[in-house]
Amino acid sequence: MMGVEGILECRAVTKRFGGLTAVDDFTFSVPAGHIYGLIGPNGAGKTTLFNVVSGEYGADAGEVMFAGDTITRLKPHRVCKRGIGRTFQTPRPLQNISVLDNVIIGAFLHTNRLEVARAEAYSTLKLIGLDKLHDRPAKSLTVPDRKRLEIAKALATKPRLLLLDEVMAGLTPTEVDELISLVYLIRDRGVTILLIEHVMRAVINLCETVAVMSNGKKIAEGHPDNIMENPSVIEAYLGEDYNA
Amino acid sequence: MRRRINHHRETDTANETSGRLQRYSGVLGGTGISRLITAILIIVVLVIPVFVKNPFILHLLIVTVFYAYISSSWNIVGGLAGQISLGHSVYVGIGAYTSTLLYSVYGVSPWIGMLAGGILAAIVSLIISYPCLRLQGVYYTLATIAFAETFRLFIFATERIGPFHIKAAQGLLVPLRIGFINYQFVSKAPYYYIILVLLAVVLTVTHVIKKTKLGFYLVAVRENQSVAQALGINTTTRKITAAAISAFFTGIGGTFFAQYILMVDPFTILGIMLSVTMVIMPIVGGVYSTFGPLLGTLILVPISELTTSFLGGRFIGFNVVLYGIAIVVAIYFLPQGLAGIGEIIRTRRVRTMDAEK
Amino acid sequence: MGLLVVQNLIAGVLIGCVYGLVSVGLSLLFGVMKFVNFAHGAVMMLSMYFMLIVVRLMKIDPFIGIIFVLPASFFVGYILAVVCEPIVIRERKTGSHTALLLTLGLSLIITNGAQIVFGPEFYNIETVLSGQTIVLSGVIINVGKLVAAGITMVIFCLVFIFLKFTDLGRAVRAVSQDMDSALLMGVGERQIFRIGFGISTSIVGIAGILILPFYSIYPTVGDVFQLKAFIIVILGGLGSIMGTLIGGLIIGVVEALGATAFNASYAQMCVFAVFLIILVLKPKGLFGKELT
Repeated sequence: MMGVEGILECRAVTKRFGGLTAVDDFTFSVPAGHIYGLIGPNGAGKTTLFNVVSGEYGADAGEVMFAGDTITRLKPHRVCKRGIGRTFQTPRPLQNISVLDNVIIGAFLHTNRLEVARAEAYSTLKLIGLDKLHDRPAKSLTVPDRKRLEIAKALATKPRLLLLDEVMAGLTPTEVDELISLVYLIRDRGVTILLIEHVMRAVINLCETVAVMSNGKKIAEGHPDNIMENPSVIEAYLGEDYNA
Repeated sequence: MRRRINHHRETDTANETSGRLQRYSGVLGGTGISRLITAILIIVVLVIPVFVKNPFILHLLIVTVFYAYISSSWNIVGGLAGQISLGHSVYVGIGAYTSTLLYSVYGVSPWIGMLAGGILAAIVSLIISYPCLRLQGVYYTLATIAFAETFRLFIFATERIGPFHIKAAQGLLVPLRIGFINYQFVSKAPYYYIILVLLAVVLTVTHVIKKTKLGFYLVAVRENQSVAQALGINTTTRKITAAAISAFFTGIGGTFFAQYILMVDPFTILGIMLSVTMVIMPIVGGVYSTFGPLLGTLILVPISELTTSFLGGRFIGFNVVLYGIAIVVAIYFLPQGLAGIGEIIRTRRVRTMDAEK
Repeated sequence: MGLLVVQNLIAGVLIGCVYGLVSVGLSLLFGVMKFVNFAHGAVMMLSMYFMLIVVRLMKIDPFIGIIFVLPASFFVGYILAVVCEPIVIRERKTGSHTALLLTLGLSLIITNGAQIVFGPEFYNIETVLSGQTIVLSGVIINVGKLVAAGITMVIFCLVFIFLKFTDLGRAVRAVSQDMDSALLMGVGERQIFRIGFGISTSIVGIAGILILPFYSIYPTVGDVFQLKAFIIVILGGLGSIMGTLIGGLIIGVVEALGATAFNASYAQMCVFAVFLIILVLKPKGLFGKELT
């Protein structure tokens, strides 16, 4: 496994907004089939990094490689076509249409026919556990169901890498457990998972490797058990507590 | 774990659900009866000119169907794609001027000119769309206004371009030559049927698009562009496609109008009032529904024409005041337009059914 | 011939100032508070008819009438804000279209309502400044336009100071950020929206008065200025007050040069052409900035 390139490689990625450097010379590698965690205090730049990877932002420096190809300059829809799916930190369902239609739109990435997309979407909903709500308007969903829908939409595009942005936020412990099982299920189908998370139980349960981000930089990387004892990590989080 | 067990017991397949929905329609009166009503309406609409000979009423019908037609054409980009174009009259004008010029200068049958006008309108929309659809929201709308005004001013102030005498503000008269090939008829009835067919075509096209990948993708573009892009949709090409289709049909409408009133000039056929009217009908009727623009037209145009005829004189512009009121009321109380009323009723029923379970 | 060009150029600069004045109200609402007000020109028209009533019907001296225009226009803006508020709150997360369409509907009502009440005829108000000109080395300059430009400068300075240095101005700028995010409008924010709207309409109301010496009153008089105002706000850059003034000057000059070179219609086309070029090449405008 050593020396093999990860399915996602970020090399010295930098993103600035005016005077603020949100992502600073960030390098990491996600092995295929892994569940990889990205943690750090609020404002560390994690979602910005996601946005650079998914193409919403262009990197000011550095490279993003996916499955061996450079995708740094690609627009979001092309990044998705390459096989990277993402969820948004605040779920963004397409409000006025049904749950099923939301997922059908994702499913259309790999087909031109409605029947095929609908079947795909329906089976994705069954996997996620939302099939009973398939004809409800998306805006009527509860918060945990919205998060599931968010994942379902991305999953329908058949990604090889799934970016999950704080999917556990605001959920009860039971709901967190359910989502943890779901993430395992998705990984078992061959999808590599990169997740941003604050809910530590999820991080410890799910992630095989964790990278810690603070002020745009990577300050630690390793197994979740070891990471939480790393003094610089503790300091980064403590600093957040004082500011909060 | 518990959730999965529940699923095995109560799994609801898509088929079962649609069966349930069909039973709901049973509660509403049966799919059979609504089909019968629709059939009767269609027959009535087709047969009107046989019984009604009053030219004013026929004119009213033709104008109504015409506005329904161009509003529905607008809706392909305005409602399906969610891009509010306030300069769509430019395509009406392109269609009208193209067919009329081809006819008066080269003798080309306006039927062919109609297609040429539509295609030219689509091409122009591609030229306009490419820079403008990268903009969002109000920027796009302002750009469409700017383009339409530019075109209108150009026609208004230009006497001729090469062999084509546009005659600026004076406008062009369509040379009078009755005959099918010349797209001119003595009575109003043929015009009525032509515009009816055109309306049916554009409504069918709209309906079909909604069931295809393009339709679904346009919904995503309309609802949330960044989400659409994250799902692999090239939002710009989809918007451009919708705009071109919309422009094509709008251009065809322009030719029809030119052949009906036998005159084209920048005041009638171009200009912001026509553009605004094309937007108001769908907003009031419901942009998300295929029949929304038609619904809006059926309500607004007859009222407009009647108020103009009976009030007239001192009250010129009263119909536009009504349009304004209609838009404000629609936005306040019926964001989905009149067509949305059905949706509101259905949602209430579903909620009651759920509560009863 | 050269003299004519200079004359037109100066007139263009002067009218450009007025364009800037009409636009700064819109810049406050559209550029700062991200609200699209298609009824902006209608308010300008209303202020002009207001003066018409004051002068002709009530036989009050125009200068006294001016004093009432300010609060009257502010009031109209406040009312419009109250009308638009529920929609703004409702549509916080979704499209920007609705505000546009709502104000478009309101504009149709106001403009055509005015046409019904006052008729489509053109009216003119005689003021001390009407038709007055001064001559500077052979160049004829319209005094009314000169005064209008002067007062415009004063108002621009006032608006600039207001936004930068007063508490209310800072509050207005703060609200502009919230207009982007999906926050519910708190009571304080609603008041700021209404006041901002009122300020916007009172400025455009003043603009309507300033052009009376050299412009006729008719129902759609506001529409032409409104479209140019949108162009100027975008040209100058969202959020930049100075950009609005410079944008106005540019448009005034382009228009004047276009009219000199071609004719009035082609001159308008040049204005639109400039607009479209800016939209495509630099959508942020000349001085556009993020208001952080």
